[in-house]
Amino acid sequence: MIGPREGKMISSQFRRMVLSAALAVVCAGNAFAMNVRAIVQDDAGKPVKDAVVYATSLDSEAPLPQKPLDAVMDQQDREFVPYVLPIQAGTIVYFPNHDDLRHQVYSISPAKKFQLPLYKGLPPAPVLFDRPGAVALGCNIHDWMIAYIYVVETPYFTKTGEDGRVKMQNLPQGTYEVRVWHPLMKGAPESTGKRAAAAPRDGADNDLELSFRITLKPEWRPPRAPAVKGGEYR
Amino acid sequence: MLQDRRLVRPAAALLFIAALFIMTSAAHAEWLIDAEFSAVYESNINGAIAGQDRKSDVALVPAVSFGHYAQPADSTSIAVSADMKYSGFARFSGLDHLESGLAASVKYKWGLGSYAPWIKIFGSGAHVDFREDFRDEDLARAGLLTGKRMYERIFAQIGYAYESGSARDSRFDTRNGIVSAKLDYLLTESVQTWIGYAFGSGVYIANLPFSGAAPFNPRAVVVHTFQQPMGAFQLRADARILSLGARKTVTNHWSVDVSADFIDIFGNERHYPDSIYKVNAAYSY
Repeated sequence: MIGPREGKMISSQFRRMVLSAALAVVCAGNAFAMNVRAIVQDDAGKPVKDAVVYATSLDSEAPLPQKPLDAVMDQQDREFVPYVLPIQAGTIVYFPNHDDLRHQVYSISPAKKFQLPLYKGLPPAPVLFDRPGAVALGCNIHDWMIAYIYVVETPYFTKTGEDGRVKMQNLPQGTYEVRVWHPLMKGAPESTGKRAAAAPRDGADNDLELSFRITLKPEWRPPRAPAVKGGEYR
Repeated sequence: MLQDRRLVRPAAALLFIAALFIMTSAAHAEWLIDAEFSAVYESNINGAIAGQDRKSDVALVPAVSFGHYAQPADSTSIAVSADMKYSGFARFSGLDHLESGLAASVKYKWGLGSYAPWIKIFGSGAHVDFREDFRDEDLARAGLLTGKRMYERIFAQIGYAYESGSARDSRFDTRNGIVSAKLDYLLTESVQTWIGYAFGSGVYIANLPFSGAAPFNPRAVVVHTFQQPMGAFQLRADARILSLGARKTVTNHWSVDVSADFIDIFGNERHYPDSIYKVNAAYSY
């Protein structure tokens, strides 16, 4: 469901991503890097999908953050795609609407308040997210449409897949705090923090394994399910 | 309002044309394609007083709706649809009927987000074609509904609707105004429950053994719908309706509902109790 315009944008993103990765290795100043593998599970031990895992350097001489890439929050079949989008502060996010109807995307979260008036296709301008924090997105027409953008200050972040696992590769040598955030998580990300440190080790990279347990709460979305006469949003 | 049957069809047509006119001027309209299949049990389908006179029946009810939904402005939406519903009864086939009509509504939302309150004005007109021709009628319905999400799991709405039915035989004309309130509660992330209460007042149709019907209304008509001759007559009455239900979301486009309506119609100093139980599957495009 990616149109030519977004395809070009994503291709550009990929080139920038490769360059950024190369830059990161050079900036690290030495050949040693750290690979962090993590698993996020709920209280019952089930893997948690869409958990953001991010590593923040605790070193005063940490390399400068890389210039963030642009990102895309799509709308398909009256749902946001993806459900969770982690980005670095300073990222520009595009909100293409691939539905054959109009959406009115908004956020009233303190980290970013904005509203895109009714549109189809691409809105007139992307949105800059320059403050860290969670941004809950909604559509004012289709109330069940909910998604989250999580803005972090570090360039080292990713999110879990179905298996609850993530892998962050080639973090420059140093000490980091690794945290987890999930939109339905009880408690603040600070409470999940784990220290991860790596030092040169016989010329080999350091591989660290971390595991996180988080408590999830239900998500109370306005129902989307059909109701023939007098349907919920009509 | 709309009590004169001559006004029913033109009013419904006018409503639809006006809505359609606004719709076609909207740049982006969304198609509505809804379908529903229900099994309905009614304990006192003939509206009788005494227990031994009450007749129950089960109906299978497929329904479809096609239409347009448009959002001409951030806060305002319009929906128009053509609706068709068939009711086929297991025992009393004289009540089998096809209802076809048009409906339109305009909804206004104050502000952004799912907690913003809204108000909806709606109207519809339909022709109901019964197997027993004398029951054929034109239905007109209009009203308003307002609602708000109160808490993350609780939604509330109140409304008023006026309905008028003009039958081929005017002795089967009905009309009533209903005030209603409903609370929806999300039991789980995929199960929604509700409780509703409605109070209506107007003219309904009741049935008694003919000898008993005549004193109530000298215009009582003998009908053979219910396997024995009964007197059908217009009854000026009040109705109280308690509704309970639950809806399970199956997918983004499918849901399954179970519901019950407990109805007490009170007229001529007598009660006409009725219960309606319904199971249905609904699809929305």
